[in-house]
Amino acid sequence: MKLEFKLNGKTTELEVSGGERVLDVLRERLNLVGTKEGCGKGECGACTVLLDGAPVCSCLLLSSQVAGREIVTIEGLAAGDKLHPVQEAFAEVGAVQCGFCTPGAVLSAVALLRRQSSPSRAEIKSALSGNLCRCTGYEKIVAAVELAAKNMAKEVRRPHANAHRGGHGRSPRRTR
Amino acid sequence: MPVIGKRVRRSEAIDRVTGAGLFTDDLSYTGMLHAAVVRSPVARGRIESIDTKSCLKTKGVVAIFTAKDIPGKNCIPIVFDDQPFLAEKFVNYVGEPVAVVVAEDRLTARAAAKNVKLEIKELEPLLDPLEARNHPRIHIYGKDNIVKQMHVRRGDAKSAFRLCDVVLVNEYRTSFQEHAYIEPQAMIAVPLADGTIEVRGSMQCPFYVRKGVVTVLGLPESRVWAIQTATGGAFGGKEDVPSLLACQVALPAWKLKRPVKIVYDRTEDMVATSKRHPGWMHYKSGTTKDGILRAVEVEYVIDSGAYSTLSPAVLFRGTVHAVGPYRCENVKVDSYAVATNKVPSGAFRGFGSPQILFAAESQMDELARKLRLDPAEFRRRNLLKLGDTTASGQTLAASVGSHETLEKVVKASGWPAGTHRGKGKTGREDGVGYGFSTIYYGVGLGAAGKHLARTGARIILHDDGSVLFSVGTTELGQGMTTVLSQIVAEGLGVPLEWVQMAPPDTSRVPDSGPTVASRSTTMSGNALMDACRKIRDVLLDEASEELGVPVSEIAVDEGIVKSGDKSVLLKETIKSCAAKRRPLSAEGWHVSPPTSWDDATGQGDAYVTYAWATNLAKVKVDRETGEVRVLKIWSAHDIGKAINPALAEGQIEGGVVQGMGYALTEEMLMDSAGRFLNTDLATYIIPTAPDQPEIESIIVEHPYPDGPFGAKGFAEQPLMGIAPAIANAIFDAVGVRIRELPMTPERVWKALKR
Amino acid sequence: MRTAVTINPLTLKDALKAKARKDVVCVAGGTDVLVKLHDMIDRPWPPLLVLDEVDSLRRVDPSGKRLVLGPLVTFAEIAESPALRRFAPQLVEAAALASSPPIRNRATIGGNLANGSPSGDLIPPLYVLGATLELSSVKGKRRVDVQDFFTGPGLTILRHDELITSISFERSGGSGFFNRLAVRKALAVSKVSVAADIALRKKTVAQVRIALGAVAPTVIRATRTEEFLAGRELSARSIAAACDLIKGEARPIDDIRSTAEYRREMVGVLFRRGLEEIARAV
Repeated sequence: MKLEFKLNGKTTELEVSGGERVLDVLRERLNLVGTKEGCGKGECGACTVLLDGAPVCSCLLLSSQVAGREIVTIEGLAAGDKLHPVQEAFAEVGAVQCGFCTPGAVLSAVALLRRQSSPSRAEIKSALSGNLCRCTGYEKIVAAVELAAKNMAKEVRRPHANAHRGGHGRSPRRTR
Repeated sequence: MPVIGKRVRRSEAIDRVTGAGLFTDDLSYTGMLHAAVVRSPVARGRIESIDTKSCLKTKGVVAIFTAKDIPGKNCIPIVFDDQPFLAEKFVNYVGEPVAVVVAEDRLTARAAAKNVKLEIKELEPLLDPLEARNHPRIHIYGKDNIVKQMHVRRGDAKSAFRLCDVVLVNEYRTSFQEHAYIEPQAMIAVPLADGTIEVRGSMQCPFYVRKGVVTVLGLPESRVWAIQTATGGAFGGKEDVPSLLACQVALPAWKLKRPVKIVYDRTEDMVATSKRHPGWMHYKSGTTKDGILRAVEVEYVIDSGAYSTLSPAVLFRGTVHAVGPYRCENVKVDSYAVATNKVPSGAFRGFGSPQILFAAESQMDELARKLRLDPAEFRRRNLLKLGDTTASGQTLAASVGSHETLEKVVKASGWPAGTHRGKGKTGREDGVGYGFSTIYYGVGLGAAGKHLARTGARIILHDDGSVLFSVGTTELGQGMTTVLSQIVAEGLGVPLEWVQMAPPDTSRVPDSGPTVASRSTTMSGNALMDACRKIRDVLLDEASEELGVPVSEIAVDEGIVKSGDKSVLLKETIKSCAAKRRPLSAEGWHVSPPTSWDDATGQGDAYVTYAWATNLAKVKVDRETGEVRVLKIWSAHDIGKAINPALAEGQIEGGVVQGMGYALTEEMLMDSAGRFLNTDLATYIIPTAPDQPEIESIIVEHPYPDGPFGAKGFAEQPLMGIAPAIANAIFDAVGVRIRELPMTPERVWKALKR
Repeated sequence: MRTAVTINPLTLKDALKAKARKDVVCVAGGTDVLVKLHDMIDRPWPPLLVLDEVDSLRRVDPSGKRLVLGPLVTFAEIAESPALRRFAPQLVEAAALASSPPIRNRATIGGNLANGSPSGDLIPPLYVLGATLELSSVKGKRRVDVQDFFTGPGLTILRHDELITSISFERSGGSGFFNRLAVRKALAVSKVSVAADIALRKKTVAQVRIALGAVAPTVIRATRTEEFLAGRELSARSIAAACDLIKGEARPIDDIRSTAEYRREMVGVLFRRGLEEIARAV
């Protein structure tokens, strides 16, 4: 089947069978290796992408399930050389150790900050609760999200990926 | 010092936050094949046949390799040489590799591997190390199933106990701990045209990987290049196991002359790769009524699993640290690493000491209570200080920040002084308790690993001022690249931005040993300082000619050469060296200061130096459900010198949470046939973000004279003392002593019921 | 790369036609089905019936006396629905606590039911809210009480050609709770869960339904405890007696998550805490 979806702001067309994992489509068909496989069963969050703005595990998402929808991966956050404030904050605060969980955690944080501009520590931890990290003890990851929230409040940001507010809302579906 | 001690950003931060950093599974090569491992389904048995023919009929399967295809030795050498690469006659643990299948894609390889028929005559396995030790009938390792034993005999513990006023004897048990690095194990072998094999992958120890491949393929060391790719967490789990993966891809790559990749599925990784040794401790300690520790007698058994791998070294570290960081004149320790039919246990942050320190620090807490002494004060009276001699007979000549860590935690927490704590007497919120632990950690490989304690480095200062350095130790997320870059920048006098590390590659530096034992900062740091000095000598000499002043009056910092009020850009000096063809690259070499160990007495200078720590845990116990919520951990560490305080804090925070998992939720359950029951991240429980306690990390600096800028390693230490601190806090909260890890709600509840 | 044939119907009619095929496996959020399929590596995946585009299965209708949800409504949608929070707070609580955000954004109520685990967190709230399920196939529809839907761990009466097409349940009687114990604060299956819905007249229990999760082969109603409490005033004594009863109604087992002994006791603790909170609020 012909799959059409929006990927990091660009309309993308692919011939698929429909039952591929989006994780594999990203990594093997589209050369976007920033989305990682940590477990393949939705238990670690390393494969997190944003589906219509909501974080989901791409290892549990089939290609046909993204028809007409929008995916944002870690590669879609920075605008050229300018990092997203969440990315910048992660680097600044030292929230990155081995970095394998980082793309997933960053995206979960981006989604959170689009819904809530000033989340509490508890809300940050809850939003990140699906992103396992073994290196950092989460401390600096939470601090990074707090810093990003502060910095984003200072600037008006136009996300270049066309994601809207509202975490799990559905965009109008394309008819086939 | 412009760079040392600064919270500079990690070199790799941008790569990681943009997803640009390439981990092993992100790499692909033309013509690359995929490998998967055929594994034993039983814990012990005799291999009767391996059907190597049927899988070759499957579309996409290219080859299958068994032990008979090994050109070199069927052995992964570690400390001893008992671990085969592929099981040949016998299998000794569930998941043991028996064959490697290679196919055009990963799924085909994995499916084919799963379907390879093995005929194995099952034999009775040994699953309990206490039963396995000296088993009368079943011999799976030598005649007594004992991989290694060690003894400490200091003073006369037996007599000393008779003079004690308080003596406590208890048994403690700890479980497997699985590393649960978020990146599963992965490796790629690439055959080069001239017969060299490049092995790239997720690893801590490129030189171990090279050694494994060289042994199995029978190649000279110069023909195998082990190169570390970005590694998604390790914690010891990628110390020896990658050598197995390397051979699983190198053998096919070498035979088929095509690149081969392997990535372990998470469940496969959890079943078949190393874990922290389960421990059993029989611990007797005694004090006189003045609160002085007089005698300690310990029996310590660790479950080695089917092969020795790192057990001899793990046992060494556990034995040296058995008493804890205290003075004690009378010590008797008997420790054993015992073989069982389980996956070989291996390295994990702390390496044999978290188990024994769980026992030691629980004992100290219980002794304090029996003595009606404040647990901080009790430790104060016994804690080693500069000039003291350890329980393993080492006089501490330098860098002993133990007491400062204790006092800093006491101060930061507002610990009430002079009170002894009984059960819930203090008017605090019900179910809230506090527990201390003080620990220490011998930095580096110690006497057990002294033959490995050497490191090489190489620095090239290019004509344009950019610096490329190579070391043999690896970046695992701990920040080694950044710390070493800071050291090189300081050592050469260049801005940090000029400095870059090359990927660790065994073809670039001589054997530098493994990235373990918190040794990278000291070993690679010192080797780099050695190389820096050589380059700096050339630069200073050139600058001295240029400026017309003696070398002793010249300083180089951040790219500026200064003498008095004369200054010149270092880039100019470099250009002039280049013009005169003066060498601006150098090798560095560092070997550890001497260590020693007497096998009969267990006395010696076991480690070159020690890191020290104090932890205080505040917990809230739900008396009805047994759930333990860790509210806060104060954790102070003497690390000699914090080259990068942000990175040091990161190690403390990560280690504390990993230690909390070890204390409360992490265990691998096994059935009576030797199969793990919880084999994914849904059932092996590591902490999530909401589980995290508040963490206050405190850095203390008592410089280590032989460390770069006074630094000594410490990154394992943050995990090591958390379990006893939490156990002690549970006792403080609700009056029950849990002596088995993990301290699950079911165990706490059961103890409360009694 | 592993793949499978998918069938992506746009209408319920087409979905039911596809479901009538023998070989097809239904996927909605994929958070149970695709996890199970992950381990199926030695044969090709079956054709997957992907329900995402059947919008009619997604409705949320809180307007009537019985609330109606389509099977594709996600945990996240349930957790964030103000209407559901008002009329079915136990269901919202269960949805909000389950697993983790990326899973909640995809996991569906229909999937939670069809998976049939006695630890499925949405199930006890549906029991106490008197839920009925509409099951449809090409042959027609039938309605079943949610309590009759499950026959054992992972086993339901759903025929191979059937889809759950609607879930309806009563509004809460005014008081209630959903309490669970899990091994950590996220990404954890319940060891024990207790849901209750109570209509109170002052401090007297006019009507009560109680359901227990993870302590029997299916979620079960604690009918003896309900009988005891009906018409009784909530006091320390009646609560204590009810707790003793409810512990006896649980039939837990030992497994890798917990022990039978512990689970049985915790049923009592969770139940008592829930009742005490209600009693305090009165």
